[in-house]
Amino acid sequence: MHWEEFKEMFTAELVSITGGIAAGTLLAFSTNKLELIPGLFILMPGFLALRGSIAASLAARISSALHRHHHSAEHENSSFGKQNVHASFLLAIVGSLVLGLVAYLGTRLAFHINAPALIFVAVMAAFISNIILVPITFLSTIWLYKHGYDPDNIMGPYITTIGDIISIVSLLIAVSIL
Amino acid sequence: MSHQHLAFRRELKKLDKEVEDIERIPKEKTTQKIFRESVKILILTSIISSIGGIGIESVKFKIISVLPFLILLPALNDMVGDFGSIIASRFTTMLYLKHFKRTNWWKSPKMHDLFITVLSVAALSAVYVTGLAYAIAFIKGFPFNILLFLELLCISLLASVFLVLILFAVSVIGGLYAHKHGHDPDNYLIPLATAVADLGSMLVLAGILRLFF
Repeated sequence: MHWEEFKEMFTAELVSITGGIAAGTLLAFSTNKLELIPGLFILMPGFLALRGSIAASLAARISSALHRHHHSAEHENSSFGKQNVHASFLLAIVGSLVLGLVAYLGTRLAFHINAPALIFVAVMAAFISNIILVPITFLSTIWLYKHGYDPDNIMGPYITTIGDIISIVSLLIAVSIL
Repeated sequence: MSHQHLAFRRELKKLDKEVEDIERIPKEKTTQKIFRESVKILILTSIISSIGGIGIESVKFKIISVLPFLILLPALNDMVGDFGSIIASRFTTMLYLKHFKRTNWWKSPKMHDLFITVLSVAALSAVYVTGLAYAIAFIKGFPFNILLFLELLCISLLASVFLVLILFAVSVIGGLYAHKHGHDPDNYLIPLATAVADLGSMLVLAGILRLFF
């Protein structure tokens, strides 16, 4: 086991799970909102996973390109950068719409509760969270690579830390808008 | 302006447009390729994660009443998801950099290192996250009970180690399959690994809550 790798991974993980705990604490202080919308717990893991998958895939694509010395990946305005950012945003909106529908159907079939608001909450929360998260992911990956770190070890945990907090806040905002 | 000059400017404009069109072709293709390769797996994995969510929704009121669990939930979900993306992206990079052959990846010292490192980080993180979640719950007024704390610690440790093993299996099988079929494993593996992690962690937690609380 390489000590440097362990240190890099463990430090990033500590930051990430502290972010997760911050998100959990936000939930603990908003139990009334959680009880307000039935099916929110069906939406939540999928929503957090979708946001995490899109951001982590974006980071991994940029990282793989940088490792393969694809230097156009370093510029946000390059064709490569724009393509990745556009695709990630599009995926987030389409994915959340599907997720909202799945959560709605799951609530209806498993608990016999009609909660169409879940679809709105999913799309609105995805829009709010990804408008912040996608640019952060892109710029952070390049910054880490340029400063001698391996984005593969850090970006996954790092992006889920920020992503969790942003996503839970976005979900609570979307619930409040209703 | 002379006739020749106007003709030259018209030609220049035409040339500019041709260059713009050439530059646009790969842009459209790559955006579409990322979308096409990712959308199906993202939808599939979101549905998988939502199944885990149904498990959690069914014990929603128990989760809200055992406060350390509610605080622990996103962190544990994160932690396992993080290991999914670390394993998947490291495996893909190793595959691209030809650190091992597809047929004997298990002999690679780099793979052994990755396995031991991730497992050690998982165990230590589980201890840290449980302690922190309980401390916050205690500050918020939840009573301290040593047995409940140890129970939570065991649950976090076992769930993390078990899910890391599953994630390695998913990443290796999925990564080799995608690479063999000419797809970019970066687009498939991370969503797949995190969905398996989500479903696994949610079902394990929901099962434990039903059994013990």
